[in-house]
Amino acid sequence: MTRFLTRGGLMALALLAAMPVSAQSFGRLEFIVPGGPGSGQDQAARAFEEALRAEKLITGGQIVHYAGGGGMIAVSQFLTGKVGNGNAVVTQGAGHLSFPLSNKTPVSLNDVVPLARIAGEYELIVVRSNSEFKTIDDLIAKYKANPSSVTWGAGSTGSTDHIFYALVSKAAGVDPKKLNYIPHANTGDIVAAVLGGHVQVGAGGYQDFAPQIQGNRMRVLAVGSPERLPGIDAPTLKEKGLDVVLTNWRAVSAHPSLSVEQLDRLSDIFDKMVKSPTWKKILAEKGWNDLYLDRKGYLEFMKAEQVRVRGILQELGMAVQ
Amino acid sequence: MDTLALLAQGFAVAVTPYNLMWAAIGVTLGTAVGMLPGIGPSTTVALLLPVTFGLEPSAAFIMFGGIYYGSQYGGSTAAILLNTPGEAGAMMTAIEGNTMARMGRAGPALATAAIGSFVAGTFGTLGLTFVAPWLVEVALLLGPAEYSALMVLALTTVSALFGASVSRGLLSLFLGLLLGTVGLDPQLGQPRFAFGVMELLDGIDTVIVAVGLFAISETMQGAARFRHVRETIQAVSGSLWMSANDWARSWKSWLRGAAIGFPIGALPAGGSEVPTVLSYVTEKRLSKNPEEFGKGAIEGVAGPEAANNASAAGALAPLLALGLPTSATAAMMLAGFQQFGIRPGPLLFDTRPEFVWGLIASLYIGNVLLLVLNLPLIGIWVRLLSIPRQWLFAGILCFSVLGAFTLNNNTVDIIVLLVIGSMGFGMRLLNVPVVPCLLGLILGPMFELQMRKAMMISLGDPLVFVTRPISLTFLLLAVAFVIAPMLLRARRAASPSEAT
Repeated sequence: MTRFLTRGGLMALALLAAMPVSAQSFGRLEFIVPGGPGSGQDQAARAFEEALRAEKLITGGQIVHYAGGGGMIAVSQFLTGKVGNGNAVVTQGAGHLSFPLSNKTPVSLNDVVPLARIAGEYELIVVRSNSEFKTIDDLIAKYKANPSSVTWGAGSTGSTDHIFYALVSKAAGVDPKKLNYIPHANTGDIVAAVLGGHVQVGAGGYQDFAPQIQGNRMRVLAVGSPERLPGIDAPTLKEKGLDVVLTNWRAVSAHPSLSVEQLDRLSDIFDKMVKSPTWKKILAEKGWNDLYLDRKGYLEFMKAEQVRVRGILQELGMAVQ
Repeated sequence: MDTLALLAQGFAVAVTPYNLMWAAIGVTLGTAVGMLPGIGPSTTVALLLPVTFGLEPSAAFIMFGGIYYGSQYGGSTAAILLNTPGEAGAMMTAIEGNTMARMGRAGPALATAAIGSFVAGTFGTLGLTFVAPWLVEVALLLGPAEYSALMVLALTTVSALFGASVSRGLLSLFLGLLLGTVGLDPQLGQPRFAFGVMELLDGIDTVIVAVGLFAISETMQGAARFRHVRETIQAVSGSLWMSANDWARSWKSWLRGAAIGFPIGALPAGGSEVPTVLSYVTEKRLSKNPEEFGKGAIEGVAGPEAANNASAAGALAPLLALGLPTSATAAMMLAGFQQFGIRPGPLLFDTRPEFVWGLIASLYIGNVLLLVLNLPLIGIWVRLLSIPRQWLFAGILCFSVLGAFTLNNNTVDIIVLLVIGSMGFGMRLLNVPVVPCLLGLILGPMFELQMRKAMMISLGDPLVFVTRPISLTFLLLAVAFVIAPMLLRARRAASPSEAT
């Protein structure tokens, strides 16, 4: 009898010990997403959920959308609604790091705990195929000679695209305030404005422009990556003497109230996910770059990036104190 | 010929019983979810997209076509019966449609909306079949200067909706323009009138204002007068079906709505608001009985509903031909294509013709099924109106609040809804028309954005609006729209014998 009980107890202990690595023990994961259905953040969250589920790291996932407020509505909802909840994460991207730096918001990414930076796309500069700018040198030469003669179109004011142009301008030795920046509400508008010649250059990720580039209606002038990107016939800004590297990254964070064990469990599943074949396949399908950084790496990156972005926003006259 | 042969192939795939079943399921689901408050076509497509996962591509797209058109139709059913439009495109339908419903003419209103959607959807799909690539090239010529001129044209037409008093109409319009300035400045990215509330940074949602001004304020008015004025809502008076007179008044409106909706919907920044507004105003101007507008004129349902559906078909043109998602719904469809590894773009018509034509064929089929399935349901929908008035009002209030919350999952929207609703109640008491306010809110921010873009591109030179031919054409049309009625009146005054 005692023996039986002991054996039972041991089995239970063994089960408990096995729990943190088995999917069943983790259960479901909720994604709080700063964006509506169909947005970039939504697509990233769906991809994370698909990979985690396929790899049996979670039993299922749920995506909850909170659009608006530069992503800070989602962060604020996450902070108030998920206290102590180790089965919920909030997703974020480059724009959510910069928004609180140019707008007074009650919360920022500093209020949540970084878990992992996962994937993203390098920023690049495009023109329509019959543009007067054949190379990035043509563009920079014209911009230097007469800054207001170039219209730079991309996302909203203070967005990652805007910061990208400002960094390029600074690297070229022109005051970023001289940028004639034309903001657009969405990717479709940017593509239409570049194709129609209403703005002279556009910026964004490769996937935003891929169909136009493959259809010979747009050309890439330069990419903001450390090395040339496979499949894209364009120099890096770096090799042209403009030291600008910028990505539109996607990442996940957890609630600040979680214990170290809860954080370990969460970062563990994302760590396993990014190494899985399912995830590699999704990256290839979506055309995203692997930008994985673990908890420590992501935190360091975020601190450094906040300093860099605040600096450039100050030069644009857009930073809040 | 090539086009027709490819289309025939597309049909051959689509009309198998198995695929037809998926189309029917898509239409039914789309209509049902589209009816829910606060859920417009884009959210419906987002909610139902996962249902198509796991189907083979052709079945998935056929179901998709059904969902797409079904959700449009479901939205207008809610607008007509409950005065709660789920998306911007259904707002103009609500104005005359709900008035008709209250007079016991919900049957004809729903029927003209369904048949109008069918007619316009068919013309829109035909347009997509034959002129999409060409139309998209033309649309790209339109830049910020042209769009701002188009908004000026749309704004001048708003005067037709002022009603008896121009000053009250202007008051309402400017109130709308003021509400439209709330949120981040589009050029500088700095907040305006947000008072530190994060939820206001993206501006006030037009659907919330529409539901507040239409449904909430009306419910308040109903409650305030409950004991004194016995306004009766008749479920059915006369035939459920459209009379010969209804047909005679509707068919031209359907065609005009389709003609306005398709090209504007195909513009990268066209949307569904401007075509439905233009259609409503056109119908009012051309109607033999303009005094009926605001009191349940069937043209006011037929035209905007047709324009809405045609613009939805038009929005697929830039999506298929260029891969440009120009609306939230189009962005969701793009995500739907991507699950099968299909990237719409300039090469799509050449590289995957079977896909393009299969999709277009399924749009035709979805459209027909929608009509076949929904016309018999009209009899059931109108029963909704025989619910006792106090219960119906309470139900509408519940649905509106739920819808406002569902839109963005935030409670601030409910507060905004109630504030706007109270404002609308005050406007009704003072006989201030509410529609100009809504149009000011829709058109104001679009005009501001495009005008400021145009001025930045031209480096501050305002001549850009008159030196570009398309922009100048829109502006001249706007001038004509203002001056023509004055000239007509002057002529009538000059020859009193002609006046009746």
